[in-house]
Amino acid sequence: MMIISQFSGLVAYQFMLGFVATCGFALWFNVPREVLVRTCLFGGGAYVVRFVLLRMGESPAAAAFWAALFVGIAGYAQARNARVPRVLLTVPGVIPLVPGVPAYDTIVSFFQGNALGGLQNAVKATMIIAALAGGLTAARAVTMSSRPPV
Amino acid sequence: MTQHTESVELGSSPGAASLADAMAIVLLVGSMMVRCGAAAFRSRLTMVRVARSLGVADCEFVVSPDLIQASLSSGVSTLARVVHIGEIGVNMARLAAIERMSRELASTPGPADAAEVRAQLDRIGGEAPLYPRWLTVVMLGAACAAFCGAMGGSALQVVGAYVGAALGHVLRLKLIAKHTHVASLVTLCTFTSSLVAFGVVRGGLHLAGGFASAFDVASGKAVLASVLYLVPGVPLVTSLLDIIHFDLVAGLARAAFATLVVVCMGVGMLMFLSMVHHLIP
Repeated sequence: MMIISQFSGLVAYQFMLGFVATCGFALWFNVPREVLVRTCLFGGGAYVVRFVLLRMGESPAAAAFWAALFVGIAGYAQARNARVPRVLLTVPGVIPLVPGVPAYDTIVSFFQGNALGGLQNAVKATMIIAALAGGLTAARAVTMSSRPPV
Repeated sequence: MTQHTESVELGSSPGAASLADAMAIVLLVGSMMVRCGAAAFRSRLTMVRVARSLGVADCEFVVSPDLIQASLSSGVSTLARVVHIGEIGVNMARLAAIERMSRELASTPGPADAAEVRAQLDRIGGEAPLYPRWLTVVMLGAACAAFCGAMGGSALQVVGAYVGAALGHVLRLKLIAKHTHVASLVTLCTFTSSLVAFGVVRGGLHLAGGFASAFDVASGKAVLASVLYLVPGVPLVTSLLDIIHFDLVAGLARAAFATLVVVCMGVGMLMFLSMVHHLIP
């Protein structure tokens, strides 16, 4: 019982972090007020998806893929409801998933003359960015309409 | 009798646009969309909707982040133009408003009044940002603080990330107002944010009587989180969208822009690390 309570506390904390991070970008990108809260909720949700998958032992790249897929599909559904471009709901939610730590470690490793460490971190960062791209692309591919858009 | 191509009328109603009017309006629509951060396919679709609603029989557009090529045909005459975009940014509310306007025009029967469409575009273009600048400073600082928290940073590191990002964003707003080149802007903001975050954490540790080497602090979570507000998320995502829609040139151009921003962040970081490494014991 105690473990479940601790875990739900951590999930709530991750949700709050994702919500705040997404909100910062959404305000800077001038996201319309009518979709602002939904955009931030998707960002919080994406952080939770990533956190839970990492806790279950998934690799960072796989967790990033599923989190981006979540944002992409949720964004699609809400964009249709609100009749706004999907990008409004997806981009602010995905930016907090960008792998800052491996990217920064790449620079620090190269700076210290550790080329091997730098390359390892660069590959790690690239894998996560590719996974985010893959998740958003997969969401778009599964929801793409075959009807002419005009 | 010959008629100059630009003065060819696209309809017989009083507000009907000439081919030149239609060209000016669709190019304005396209350049506004690209400047707002729209992907090439979305900008093109919006331009097609507006062109058709103005009575243009046939149109083709090539959209990339730096220029738009347009060709409009009335059936008897064809007009082609190229327009350069200039500085690009992100403005989602404007993007949504232009797209909504184009959908409304497309769903209205009959040719649209050119003057009315231009007036709507002027109104959309003149709208002030929805959120005050101070609020974006507060919230982008909070976003970077949240990143630091997610990395497992201590309370002091979270504060360092917040202050570094907020002050860096203030500097970014000032540099944007001066039309500073994006490479200089990103490098300067990265350097400033890192330095401020470093100063806050190092100062805090000093006051608390703690000890950490300057390099440990400089390569820590606060400094890293403080620069994440500069990550070029919109160009990265729209570059992918362009590529999956087979707008390969636009997609690669945007990816090159995003890479430039990331490289400039790296340069700013290296400047900061180098300074800390050599000047601070």
